[in-house]
Amino acid sequence: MIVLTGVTKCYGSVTALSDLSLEVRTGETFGLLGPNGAGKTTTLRLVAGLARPTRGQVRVAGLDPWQNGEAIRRQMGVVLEGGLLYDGLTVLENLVLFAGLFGVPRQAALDALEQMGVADLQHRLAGRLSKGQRQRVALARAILHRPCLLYLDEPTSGLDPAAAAELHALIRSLRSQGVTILLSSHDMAEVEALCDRVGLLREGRLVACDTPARLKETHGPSLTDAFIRLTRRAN
Amino acid sequence: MRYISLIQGEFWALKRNRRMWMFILMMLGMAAVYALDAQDGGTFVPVVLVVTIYTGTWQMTVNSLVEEKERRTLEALLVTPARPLEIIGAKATVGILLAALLSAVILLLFRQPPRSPLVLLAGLGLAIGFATASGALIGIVARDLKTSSLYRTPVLALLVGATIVPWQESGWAIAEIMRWLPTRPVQELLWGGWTGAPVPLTRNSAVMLFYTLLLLAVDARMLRQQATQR
Repeated sequence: MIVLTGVTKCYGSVTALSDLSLEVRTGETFGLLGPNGAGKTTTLRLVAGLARPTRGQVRVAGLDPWQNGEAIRRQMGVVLEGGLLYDGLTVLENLVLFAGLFGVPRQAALDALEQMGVADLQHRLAGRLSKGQRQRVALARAILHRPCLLYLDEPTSGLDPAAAAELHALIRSLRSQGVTILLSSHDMAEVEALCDRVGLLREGRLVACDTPARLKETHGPSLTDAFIRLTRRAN
Repeated sequence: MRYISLIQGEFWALKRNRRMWMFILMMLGMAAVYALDAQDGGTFVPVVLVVTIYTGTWQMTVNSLVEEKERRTLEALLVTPARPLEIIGAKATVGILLAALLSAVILLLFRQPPRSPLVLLAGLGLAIGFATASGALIGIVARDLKTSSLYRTPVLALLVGATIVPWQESGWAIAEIMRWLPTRPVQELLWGGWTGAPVPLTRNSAVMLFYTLLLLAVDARMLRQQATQR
């Protein structure tokens, strides 16, 4: 689904990604991990066609996102950290606005709210939702056009364990429907519970890419230990 | 379709924007009080039109863009198929419609037709276009509401002030310079349209169109840069 080959991205004198090669297979849940500033957001921007690689090649579903940004974004759903809803609009208005941008009917917004179990909140202002409700609404907004690729950035950040577990169940159900999921998170338990494979970025370079179980075996004993060891080596 | 959806979203937000409703009521209230009291709105009508257009359209475009950046909702929009120019165009359209509606209501309140309706219409259109394009530039350049407030008020005061000053009464050199800046042409068109005084319509329109198109080109370039080079 996503193939990055030898990708380098520089912003002036700053190198955000350096010779990154990575493949995310269709239907898998891939965890993109790394400390802040490791290059996760830049990777998303390249995949969404919002930035052009300085060197190397990016392909999403066989297409170059820079040349076909609109077509790629039409197949993509994105949940950015914090949900990023319009607080002054109701839940339904937030979704209907995005339904229009993706060219799907209003009914798709209602269906997505139903699927995420938040249909009863449709007339509430987004600014008055709890964190858990916001994330569910943001997820509903991201899937209303039935994307084949979903990018989730810290989807359960700040949620209580019950709300996080509910969201995990929703993400698993999306995966079972064949959606490819690119997950960025600092919660290792979440990554272990949801991801088939994990790529670890450090200073714009891919330092490890494997299943959570193998990463634990090689750099463990836990995924947190593996994360700390692999990122500490740079310091 | 995307453009219409973005405009619809802007209207939903406007519906609940108490600050904007307060501004609209204030401008209409001021115009209504003066219209009741004065027989001839000779000076007041063009002034209130300038203030309404620049504070309304300009502020709305700036605030709307800066708030989107500050709340990061612009990022959510940019990962949809919507193009940056559609996003900015929708914001501008709502500001333009609001300013046009307010101007029409203010003119109706005075219950007397302008002496040169076409000249007044040209002045209103050009002022609204320029206010939108310059407001968008401030909105694109500003990082957040706090930093934008540092230069938003001086720029707005300069725009309004420089537009309502009767430059034709200044010395020859200043009056001539102001002819080629985006202030005196609007002033002449609005005052001339309302009072019927002769106005160089073609030259003034050309000057305003030049600045508006130039600003729009800069807006588009900067927005594209911001969307792709972060």
